[in-house]
Amino acid sequence: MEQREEHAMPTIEKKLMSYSEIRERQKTHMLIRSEVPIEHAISLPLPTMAWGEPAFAYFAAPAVRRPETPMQQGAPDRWWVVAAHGGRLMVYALCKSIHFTADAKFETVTLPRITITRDELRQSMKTVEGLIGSLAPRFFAHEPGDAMERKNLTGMLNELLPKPLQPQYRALVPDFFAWLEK
Amino acid sequence: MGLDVSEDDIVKFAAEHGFCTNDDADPANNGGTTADARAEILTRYGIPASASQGGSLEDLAGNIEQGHGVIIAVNAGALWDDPNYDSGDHSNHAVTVTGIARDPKTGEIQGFFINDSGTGKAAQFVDASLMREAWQDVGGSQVVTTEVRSYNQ
Repeated sequence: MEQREEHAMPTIEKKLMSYSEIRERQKTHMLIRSEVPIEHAISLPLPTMAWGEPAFAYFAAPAVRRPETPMQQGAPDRWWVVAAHGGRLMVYALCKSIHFTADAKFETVTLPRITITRDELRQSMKTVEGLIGSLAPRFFAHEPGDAMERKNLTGMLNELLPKPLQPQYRALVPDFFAWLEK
Repeated sequence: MGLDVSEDDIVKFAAEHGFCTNDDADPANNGGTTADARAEILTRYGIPASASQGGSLEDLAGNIEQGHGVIIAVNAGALWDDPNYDSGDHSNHAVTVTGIARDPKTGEIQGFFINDSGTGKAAQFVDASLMREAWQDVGGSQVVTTEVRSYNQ
């Protein structure tokens, strides 16, 4: 018994990956290489506690891109969840097998034209990423987080996420949106 | 290297074998492939190929200079300089790389030539800086043929 206790692993507090680490890992994740078609549009990963532990959820949808033509995006056809501790894959499913929501039926949409420059878009995305990076740990800890940051992120998501796609994001992580807008 | 096969033949083959998406009611949403699937399609057609990630400009240049066929995954928004197609930090479009330009004095990579089915342009020059942004910075994914072209064929 004493020998077993000597070799027992001590309890170690898990570290959350930062949001930028989660985003970086996405670039070369094996899922992207072997499961998600390159032409698919991949959502912004958003925090969720729906899967038993802190995690980030994504969806992907077929998309048609032609220069000078409005982008068309189909209904999400797959989704996945990665753990916020370590980034390991927790769930991956095709929507035709297991959908991330039973409540909505999505259709192909034409996305509104973006009128800002790429640099402006990138800057806005950086701001959003910073806000998510700051708020996600509070959300995961069931804390209210900074009210102004929550308000800012709500506003920026409303502005940056294409309107036709917002129902999809809300269906993907209803717990995060409920927390954000409390 | 080269096969007498039509695009329709390849699409049919890919769809039949599950190498591309094929179950959306809207045909425009079908035909998507992953890097691994593209490598598999080529291999099954007798052109062995493999997919890799994390490539650098020198890796890409080396593959082209050695005569390998290369398909890369890029961020279309960066390549076309259009925010409407910008996926930020991941790729969303595949193009074929057909050539490379180096500074004759220093050997420094000046850029690459690509065929882009999205624009319909062939032998389009992409300078090194843009290639870094559109390809390397979004994962450096490439599908590379194992064999090299023989220009004497």
